[in-house]
Order: sequence, then structure tokens, then C-alpha cells
Amino acid sequence: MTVLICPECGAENPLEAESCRECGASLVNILPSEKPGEDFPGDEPFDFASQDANDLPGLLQSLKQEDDLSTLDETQEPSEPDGSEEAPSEEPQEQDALPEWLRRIRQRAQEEEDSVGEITQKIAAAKDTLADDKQGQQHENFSAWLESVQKEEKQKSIEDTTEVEIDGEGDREPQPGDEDWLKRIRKIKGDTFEEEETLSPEDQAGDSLLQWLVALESGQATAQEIPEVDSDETAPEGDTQAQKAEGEEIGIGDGDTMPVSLIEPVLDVSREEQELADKLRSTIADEKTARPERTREEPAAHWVVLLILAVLLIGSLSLSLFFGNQVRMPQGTVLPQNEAVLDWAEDSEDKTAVLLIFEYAAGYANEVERVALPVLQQAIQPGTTIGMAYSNPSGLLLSERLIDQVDDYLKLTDLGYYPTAALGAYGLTDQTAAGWEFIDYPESKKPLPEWPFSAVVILSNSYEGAAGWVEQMSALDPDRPIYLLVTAQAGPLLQPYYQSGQVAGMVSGMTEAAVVETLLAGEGQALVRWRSYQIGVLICLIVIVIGVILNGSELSTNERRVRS
Amino acid sequence: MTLSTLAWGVIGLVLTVMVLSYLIGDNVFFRIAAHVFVGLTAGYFAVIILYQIVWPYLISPLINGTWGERLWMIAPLVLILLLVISQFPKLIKLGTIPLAYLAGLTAALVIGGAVFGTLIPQSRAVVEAFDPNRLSPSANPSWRVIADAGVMLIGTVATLSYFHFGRKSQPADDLEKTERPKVFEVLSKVGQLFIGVTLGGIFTGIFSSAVLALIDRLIFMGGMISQLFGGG
Repeated sequence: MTVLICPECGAENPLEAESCRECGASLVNILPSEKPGEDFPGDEPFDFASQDANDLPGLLQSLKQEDDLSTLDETQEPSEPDGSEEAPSEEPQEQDALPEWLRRIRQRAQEEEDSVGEITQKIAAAKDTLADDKQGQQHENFSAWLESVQKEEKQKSIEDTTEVEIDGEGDREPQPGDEDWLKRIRKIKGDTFEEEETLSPEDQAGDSLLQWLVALESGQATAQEIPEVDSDETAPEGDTQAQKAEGEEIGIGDGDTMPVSLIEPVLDVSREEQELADKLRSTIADEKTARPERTREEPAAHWVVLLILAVLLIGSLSLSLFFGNQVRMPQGTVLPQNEAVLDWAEDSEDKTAVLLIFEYAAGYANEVERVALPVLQQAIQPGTTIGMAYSNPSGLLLSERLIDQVDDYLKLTDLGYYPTAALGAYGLTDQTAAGWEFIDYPESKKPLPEWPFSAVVILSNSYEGAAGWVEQMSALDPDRPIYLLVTAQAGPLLQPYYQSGQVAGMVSGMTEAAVVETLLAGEGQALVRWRSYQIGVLICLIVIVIGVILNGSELSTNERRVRS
Repeated sequence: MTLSTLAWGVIGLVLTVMVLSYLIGDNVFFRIAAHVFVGLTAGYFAVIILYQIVWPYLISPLINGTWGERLWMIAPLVLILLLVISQFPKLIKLGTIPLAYLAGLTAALVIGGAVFGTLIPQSRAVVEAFDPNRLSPSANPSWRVIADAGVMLIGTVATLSYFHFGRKSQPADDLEKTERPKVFEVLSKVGQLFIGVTLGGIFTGIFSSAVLALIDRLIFMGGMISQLFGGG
């Protein structure tokens, strides 16, 4: 059917239309064209007979001998042999298209029965029989073969769980896979024909037709046999291997087989999905790529500088410790929190029982001992009951080490380890409060503290641990005096508890410890370390300042470089 | 010096040198010493837990207690059992019961302590700093007491303002959507100063403690070397 195709929207319009019925575009000067889809390749009859008829020109060529090959090529149009036999009404036109020699042969054959000889007559008869039989039988075989291909494809698609949808009905729409397998079959056949056409005239398939005709005469072959396409001879090597790899032969009737390739299920992938898949593949490949291990290359100067600094620091500290003279602490103003501790230590009243809380780690033991020893040695007298509780696992060992330096004649009460400062403080303090009484509640096998303690002394190296005890105890028992003997790093953050009155007194760090020791016991261990401590702090300050200056200049240089 | 003291002293000396070798960078000796300390700490901690917690508070009442005391132990035993069987993937949800109990109990204690032990007393201390009664009997000059109270008040307000991230509920333009009110913006700058000074003080304290630890180790090493080679 001839229609007018709109150049704007592609809609089909009748021939008499002057404008497109879809978009209204002008259809003047638009040439009519065949309606697309009517000549769909899949709808064409698959005519093996017409293809086999291509063998005929070779035979005719051998018969003609004198005629030129250019004329022969005109007879290779596939529609010509079929048209001449199937449509007698078009014979006059075909007569014009036939070469002169063939027309003379046909005319002579009609006039004289034996004019072209016995072989020619047999060829004409065999050709007619072959065309009729094969057309009918091949169409039947092709239908059966097509159904078998569809069945196999369905089965394969189900097995592979692909996304190709097959309707399974006779009127299903053409799928991309259908076009592929048709093209591949035609390609195979086309390659065969092309190769046959490229053969020399002596080797053309017309000879095989002659041989087949001879066999037909002797009864070794039948008219239904189709010259089998030998893929090993006709197809290129690559295609042959591909067919061996993915193809198999299917029956097309009478035990004959035909090589077909199994159609791989077509996965419909959009461009975006393909790009994402490519990215994922490249990422995975990049992750799996072996990379050389990057080692941090530190310049040799860095290591040398570290060594020099270490030697300088340790050497200076050692010299000041072992070869320096004893220093005297300058008499300065005593801080209020230190003064409160001094007053409590020097006061001889009401020190029958003191609760010591060990809340520091072993690494800070020396600093805490330097802070705590002068105070405890002054405050705790022989006969004083000492209750010891610890919220640090090392507290048991550290308490023994400290108490051994205080006095050998103390009444010690081990209250044990409490995993959390808040829990321990609440548990210990709440025993004096009016709590519930549980019947048969198991008593702790540890000795309980003999409340009321006259004071609670917390030894700590961290703000969090000391604050946990102070918060609970000051809230539950606000009248109980709490003293803090802590390291320098915990002191600044615990200062507000003294300001608020929750803590009665506090000593923190080496500097305050040296002052308190001087006031309480004269020269002691704190003063031995005092000069080394000053030198060490001074060296650290110098190194920090130099590092900041060098790092700042390097940053500014890089910034200028980036800006430039 | 006894043999035991000498042996432990030498071990301590060697381990100290191995740790100090980190001054010239990470090396195998420092790693060995670190692994030794970590292993010893873990083992010691396990023993402490067994002897200080599990035995006196759980095992001993079960063995030596009355039937009433043993009944009280059902609760901790059930919680322990739930925590143990939660290690199986299918029963992992059962572990949330003892963990929820612990988290709730700890949170209640910590929040109670923070409110009644820190927030209220500290706030009251800031207010009481302006008590006129503190001016007359104090040994400090009046201007110093007033200055202390003023600095404390400014520091408290400015630091709290630094952590104020609120915005106007009905901003007039896009700028007000992203910026704090001008008052909080200015106070937050002052708050940064106080926070910086505080963090500087903490950093100084950490350095001070580290230097003291190094000094004590040097004293220990010097004493051991003098005892080993100097005879005394």
C-alpha cells in the first residue's frame, strides 16, 4: 500500500492528503512510498528453491559457452527464475529481460522436442519438479523449523531467566532476537552464495547440480534432498568456530539437518545503565589493581632532629637532677585552695577516720604521690582509721605503695574496687542516708566504712573521675569536707568545685606541691625535682614556639606559592 | 638489695628504655613494651574483677548465704545469662535487657550528679559571687572580689553563648536564616577567648604531667644504674 510519509512527524497519510493529519505539515511535493512494515523481512517466504535456482546460471553458463558473463549476471536476479515459472502472465516482460541466447534456446525447445538434447530436457523437468516440490516441502519444513526454534528459544529464556519476553503465540510481535537469528541464517546462506559466486566457472555449484542430476538419474538421490550447506567449506573460519561453539543442527524433515545458531537472550540495557555498569566495572577493576605500598618517606633530617631533641631533653634533665645544687622554693603567695589543705593537715582535731579515694592511673603515680605525701604525712597520725576505695583497677597496688610511705601503723580498711566513680560514690555515701531496708538482702563480704569519716580525700589524675566522686558526695552528703590532691592536668577543670564550695581544699600539680611541701615538711622530694621540672618545661616551650614559627612560615610560603 | 628487687628493677629499667626509644620514632622495642603493658593490664584487670566484684557480690552470697540471700541473686544471674546468650546471633535482642538496665541506671546517676552536683552549685556560685556580704569581711580588696565575680559572670555567659546555635523563628531575610543574632555573635567571640584559655591551661597541665613522668623515670634509671655499677 502506498502512503505519504509526513517529513515532520513520520505519520502515514493517504495519497490524496495535502497536509498531515497528525501535525498538519504540508505534504505537497512529497513522493509516495510503500507503507512501512508490509515488506518486513520476516514476512517474506523463505524460498530455498529460489536460492537453489541460483545454481542454474552455472549450468546455463556451461551450456552457453560463447555468451559473455555480463549477460549471465543479469539472469542471477532471484526473482527472475521464480517469476518466469510462477507468473506466466508476465512472460512477455520476462522475455524481454532474458538474454537472446536463452530465448533462442527456449524457442527452439518448444519447436523441436530434441533440439536441446536429452540433458536439457531433463534439466528443465528436474528444475520444475525441484522447484515445485521444494517450495512446498521447504515451506512446511521451515514452519516446523521455525516452531522448533521458538520452542528452544522459550526454553532457553526460561532457563537463563533473561528479560526477553516471548509471547508464545503465533501472532507475536517481531522481537530484536528474531531479526538477529534471521540475519544470521541469511548471513550463513549469503556467505555460501557469495563464495559460490566467487568460484571460478569450472568450480561453480552448477557442476554439483549436474552431479546431482546424474545421481538422480541413477536413483542415488531424491528430488526432496536439499544440497546441504557445508559450513566447513563455505563459512569463514571464525564463523565456523562460532557455530561449533554456540550452534547446533536441527531437523528440517526427512532426516535432513540444518545448522542454526542458538540465539543468545538479548538483554535490553539503556545507555545510562551501561554507563553505570561501566563505572562499576572500572571501580572494581581499580580496587583489584595491585598498587605499590606507599610508605611515608620521612626525610633523614626529621629523624636527626628528633634524636637531637631527645638527647637535649634527657641530657638537660639528667644534669639538673644528678649534678645540680639543691634549690630553695621561693616564698610566694599561697593559693586559697592550698591554704585550706594546709589548715586541715595541720589541724590535729577530728582525724579519727579518713576516707581515701584512689582514682589515678599508674603512669601518674609519682606526680600524685609528690602532691599527696606531704599532706597525708602531716594529716594522718598513728591510730587514724584509713578507708580505701578505688575506681581505677590499679588502685589496690597504688594504695599499698602510697600508704607504705605514709606510716606503718595505720588502721586500714579496704573498701574495694568500684568500676564507675559515680556508682561507687553513690553506693558508699548512700549508706548514711535513710534508704530502704530489703529483707535478707546480702551483706557485702567486704568491711563497710565506719561513717562518719571526718574527711574525704580524692587522689586523681583526671577531671572526669574526680568530678564523679565530687558530684555524688557533695550532693548526698554536703557537709562532709572533700579535699582534692590531683595532677596538674586535672587541676584547672576542678577549680570551679572549689569556687562553689563543694570542695574544701585542693592541691594540683608540681608547683603547688612544692609550695605545700616546703610549708609543711621543709625540703623534700618535690624540691629535688623542681629544677628539672622547670628546665623540662622551658625546653618544651622553646620547642613548641620554634615549631609554631617554622610551621607558620612554611604554611605562609605554601600559601604564597598557591596564590602565585 | 634483694635478688627480687634487683630483678624487677632491671626489668623495669629495660622496659623504660624500650618505651623511651619512641623518642626517635616507632620501633620494634617500643611495640614489644606496649604489648607487654597491654597484656599485663588486661590480665590484672580480669583478676581484679573476679576478686573484687564477682566473688564478694555474687559467688560468695550464693555459696555461703541463706536461702533469702540466694533468692536475691536470681536477678543478677538472669541478667548475666541474658548477656551471655545474646552472643548468639538469633538471641542478640535479649542482650538489650541487661544493657538497658545498666544504661538507665548509669544515666540516672550521672544526670542526677550533674544536675545536683555541678549545675545547680556552679550556678549558685556565680550568683553568690555578687553577694555584698563577701566584700566587707574578706581579706581580699573589694575591687578584686568584684573583678573576680565580673570575670566569672562574663566567662559563664560568653561560653554558654558560644554554644548557642539558635536562629530567629521568623527570619526577615536569608542572612538571618544562617546567622545568629548579633548579641550572641559578639558574646560567642568572647566565649572563644575563655574556651581557648581553658584549653591552653589543660594542655599545659598535660605537658607538666608528662615532664614529671619523664623526670621520675630518669630518677629511677639513675638510681638503678648507680646501684648496679656504683654499688649503692
